[in-house]
Amino acid sequence: MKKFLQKIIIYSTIYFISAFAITTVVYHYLPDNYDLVEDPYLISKLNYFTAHGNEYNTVFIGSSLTMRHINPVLFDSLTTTYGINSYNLGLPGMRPFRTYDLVNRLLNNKSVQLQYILLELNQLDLIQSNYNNKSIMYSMDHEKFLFSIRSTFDSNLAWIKKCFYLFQYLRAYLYKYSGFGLFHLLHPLPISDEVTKANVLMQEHTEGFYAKDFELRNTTNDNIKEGYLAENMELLEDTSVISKNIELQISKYGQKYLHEKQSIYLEFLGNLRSKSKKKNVEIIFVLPPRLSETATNSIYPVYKKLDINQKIDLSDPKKFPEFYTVQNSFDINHLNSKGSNFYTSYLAQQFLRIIGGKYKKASKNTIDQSITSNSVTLVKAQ
Amino acid sequence: MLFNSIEFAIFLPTVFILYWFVFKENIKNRNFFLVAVSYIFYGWWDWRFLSLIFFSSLVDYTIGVRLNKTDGPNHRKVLLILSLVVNLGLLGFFKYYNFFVDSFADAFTLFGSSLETRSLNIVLPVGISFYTFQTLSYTIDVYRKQLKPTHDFIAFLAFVSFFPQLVAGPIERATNLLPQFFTKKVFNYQLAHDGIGQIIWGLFKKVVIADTAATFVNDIFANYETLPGSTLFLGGVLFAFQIYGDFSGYSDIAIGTAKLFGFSLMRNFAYPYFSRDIAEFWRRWHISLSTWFRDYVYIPLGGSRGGKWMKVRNTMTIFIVSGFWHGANWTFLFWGFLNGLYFLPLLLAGKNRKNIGNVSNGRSLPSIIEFLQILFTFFITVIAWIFFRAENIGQAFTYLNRMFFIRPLSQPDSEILLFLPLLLIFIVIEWIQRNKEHAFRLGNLHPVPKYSAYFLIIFLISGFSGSQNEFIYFQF
Repeated sequence: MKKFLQKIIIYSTIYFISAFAITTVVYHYLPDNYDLVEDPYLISKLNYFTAHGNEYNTVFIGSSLTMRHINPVLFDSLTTTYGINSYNLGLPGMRPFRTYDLVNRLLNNKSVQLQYILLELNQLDLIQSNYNNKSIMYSMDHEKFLFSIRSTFDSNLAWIKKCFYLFQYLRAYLYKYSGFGLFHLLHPLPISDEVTKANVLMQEHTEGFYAKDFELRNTTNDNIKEGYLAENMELLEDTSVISKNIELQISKYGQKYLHEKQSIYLEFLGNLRSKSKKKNVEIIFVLPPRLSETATNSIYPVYKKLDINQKIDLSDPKKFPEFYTVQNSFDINHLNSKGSNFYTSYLAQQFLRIIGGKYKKASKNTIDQSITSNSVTLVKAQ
Repeated sequence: MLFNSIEFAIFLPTVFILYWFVFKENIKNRNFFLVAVSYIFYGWWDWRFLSLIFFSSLVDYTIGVRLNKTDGPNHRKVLLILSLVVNLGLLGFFKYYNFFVDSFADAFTLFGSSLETRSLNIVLPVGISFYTFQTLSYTIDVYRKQLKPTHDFIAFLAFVSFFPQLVAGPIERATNLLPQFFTKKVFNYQLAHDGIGQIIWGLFKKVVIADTAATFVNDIFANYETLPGSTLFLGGVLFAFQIYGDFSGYSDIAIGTAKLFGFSLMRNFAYPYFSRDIAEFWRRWHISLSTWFRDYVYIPLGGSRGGKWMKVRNTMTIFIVSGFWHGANWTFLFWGFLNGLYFLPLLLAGKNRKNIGNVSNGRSLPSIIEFLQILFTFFITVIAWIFFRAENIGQAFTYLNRMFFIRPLSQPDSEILLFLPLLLIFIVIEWIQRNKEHAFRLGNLHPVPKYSAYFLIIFLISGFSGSQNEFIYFQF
């Protein structure tokens, strides 16, 4: 028995060390396969964007809070004097590091001629339960693992949360470097008809923007329909979620955060910004509304430390009450198309402040027209 | 809990350590421990069905004890019937209720009238077909006085719920497994070592062969109306390897796991795709179920003792019942029927036991005749597997029609061709090892190539893993 257990332990250790070494070498020499591992939604948008790289000078990157909320057509119309042509590269569920990977890819792409990147600030929630997700696996490397560990220790999260995140990072790291899922990274993800349809629509008509109520109207997939309607109903049945988020967002300004230095994360963002400066691209960090409590507590201390000219805060319910009304909402986390037009208008206003432009306030008519034109566009596209 | 999951990777070593270091000495405590961990293993899917397995065990245990106390043939028969009614009743309700209701209603529509029926939203308890047959075999053996009933309820619970083989077999006989719960276990290094090898090979078959084949098979069966015949043929072949890798992989993991605890389970697969005729195939495929049907259905029906008609009737009965055992769908019934048809000519010509023993014994390659026999047997099983995999009979016939008549010789999808070398290596390994219980028994090989092979196979399992696909046979 003792001999058996000894052998198991010795051979397992040898196996893991060898597998780690082999996998590290394989990943180092593996040709870039971003288009095989990332979400087909994003790859399709990205391919379109890079193919038309010289037509756009501004891009929005972030999660669904970016994809569902920022309407580039409206944004461009409000900033047209300054020659802004923008595209929305937001993707549901896309958070750091995936967003930073995307920024780096755009900065290294010579066919893209960017001036501005509006990057959504979100918590460093790399893994969640998706440790074996292809895009997470692609993103994880030794450097990012070390960064994740350092920044988790440096964050203001509760210890229990820290332990949770550390476990998640470690699991994702070990999973990748023990060779798990290696061969899956060589296969593209399947592309459903729904994704193809949505991408054609976004590419040809909405510059990557897709509000959830537009999608609900456009989709033929019953599961999506049912899911969205349930999310919509959940909000209508209990609107107190919004008032609670208002309280949270207001209280964050007066709150003293423990361990709020977040120096590691700030250092990372600073490096990203320096790199972009060298390529003559300005990164502007956007703090979106309606972030969860964990995300707010995690990211707001980071936001506070950023330079005033590199950041936009759209989370303040006092300044932007339109983002916190049921009428402008689709579900607990997302605005509807009407709300997204408010969001885009305010974002354009803040953006012009940073680039030294003058904002011409969008009238209610402009916004209404934008909503109508979007609806018409979508109806035509269908 | 799936064998190919993180949970099981934690569960197994924990149970192993506790079993050998804490519970080894006292048999009663050890059996109680095995029942507890087996119930945790099973309850991981749905704890509500634990009551079902407990109830089934309680009924058969009690009936077994009662059978021992009475010699009256009528009373004994009543007890046996009671066991059959309870076990098959539960199986029938959970597995076949909706099928019978819907089929009954469909039959009415054939005559131009409609019948309003009420299907129930019934969740099929995992592995119910397996443990029901296992407990039934106990009662029948006790009834036949081939086995003395146990008076140790905990040991009986352990026999019914023993976690390695609980949800997908092998379907154990009480005569083989039950006595093992009454013996003191001494750790056997060679047995445990062999068990580890068998688990690794089982995982390889499941994760690398079956799950990879499944991605192509699912795609091909979902788009069969647009694909050329050559691709559809490959779809059938890949499904044959998917179901083999999946099910025999599960059996290997189950048998290997049992070995770690000092238990010996019956063999369930013996390289079936190297069979020279369909009769040999059925002696090598899902052996625990085939022999169950032989012992508890075929022989009581008269077996092959009667005339030709009786042979035909009994053979077709067990093949159709075997098909129906797999699921409540006409496709399974037809699959069983088709295999029965394949079998009949051999039976009637008295050649069904012609190919006993391993093919090409003592030779490294088969003769041309053997090779052609193996190819033909494999081909006809592929045809039958298409019915097994299809969603309905109509789909299966359309699939076969396209397979034979729509561009059968065109170039298949290039991505599938990339998988074929791996499949070929797998077949070659199984061929070389065909005389051994499992293909990863490396015996007296030098430690360097031996452990390199272990390393390579584990690395492949890791590399191909990613999604935890359930085993196909869980649904049966």
